[in-house]
Amino acid sequence: MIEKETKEITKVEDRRRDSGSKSIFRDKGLIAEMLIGITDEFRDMERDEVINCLCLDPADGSVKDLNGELSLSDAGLARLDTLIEAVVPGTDDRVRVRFNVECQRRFSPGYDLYDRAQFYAGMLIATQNKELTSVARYKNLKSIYTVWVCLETDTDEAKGTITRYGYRLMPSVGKERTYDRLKNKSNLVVVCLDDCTETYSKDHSRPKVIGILNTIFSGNMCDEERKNELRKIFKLDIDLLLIREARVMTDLLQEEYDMGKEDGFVEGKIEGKIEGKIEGKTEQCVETILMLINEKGFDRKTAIELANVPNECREEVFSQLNTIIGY
Amino acid sequence: MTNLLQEEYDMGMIEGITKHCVETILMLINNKGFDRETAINLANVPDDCREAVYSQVDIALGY
Repeated sequence: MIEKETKEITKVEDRRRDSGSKSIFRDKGLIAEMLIGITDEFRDMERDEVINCLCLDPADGSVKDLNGELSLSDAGLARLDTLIEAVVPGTDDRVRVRFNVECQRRFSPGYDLYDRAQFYAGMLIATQNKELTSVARYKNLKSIYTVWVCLETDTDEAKGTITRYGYRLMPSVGKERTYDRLKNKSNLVVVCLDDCTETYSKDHSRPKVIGILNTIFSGNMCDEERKNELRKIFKLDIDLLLIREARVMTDLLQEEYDMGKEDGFVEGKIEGKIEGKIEGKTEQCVETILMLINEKGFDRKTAIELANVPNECREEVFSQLNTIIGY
Repeated sequence: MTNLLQEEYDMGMIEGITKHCVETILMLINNKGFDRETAINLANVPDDCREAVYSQVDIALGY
């Protein structure tokens, strides 16, 4: 029974990973704190000021996920966990940062994490301005940050650190050159959490972002305690469901099931809701496409285009259409 | 599936449909140039989500 449930949840989890909906990183307050703590553009700003710079989803007011904008016709791209954009204050609308957060349970998952991070950084640059050609393509490139929140580290020394990498001037060949006109736009940030039980309130030398992420992901606190700690110490009011979901997405759920713990029920509720959301969108898309074809007289291609099929439902929607109308 | 899990599933389903309808309507207005009424008509909004969808669309459009 447990094995079957585990498989089901893993299946849903895989689908959810594909959908890129790591909801906790769509929380405005959390993302604002990460932008303040990690980027040059928002450093030392107040949280509310940063929230005003975020691109928000008009449907629910959360931080807008821009994953759908990632595509290149001839490149098989990875789907990101979270991709958001923020307008840099005091600049025009085209000067933005693209901020990608990846949550990594294992530091050595069978490849070099830094290689994958560099691939993502390249992807975030390459998928900008893709509709433009020649000179225009390279104008107004947004700075990108690919942020890797690591729950495990390769060395103890790395625990509790935020390390940033980017393009910089390397030693010249021949005469030494100090003048550098390259403006680094590609930032790779590795945030290593620790298992420190000391809270941020007791040790302010620790970076605030580490304190917040540690409270969400690390230690032995129950989810209610995490929520209270976030509110009390960091004045962050994050939905309890999102905090639970954050643990699910970091493979903890799988591990807990493997260890035979019986607390899958609450997580099951979350997964049920997520699965329901995907099913709901799929059903809605299929019905809308059929209505547009049968009642409004659109051709199949136009109907599919107008129905705005989300990526995470695409395969299932087309499969159902195939069954019904031989798409 | 217990009743509680079924409730979560059903709630998720309605949320998913609502979110998709809102996104589709906004896409039809902003990207395809349809007016609000036509976009709502094309998006095939189910009755049980109608109120929430209209409200979210109006907020997004600044009505």
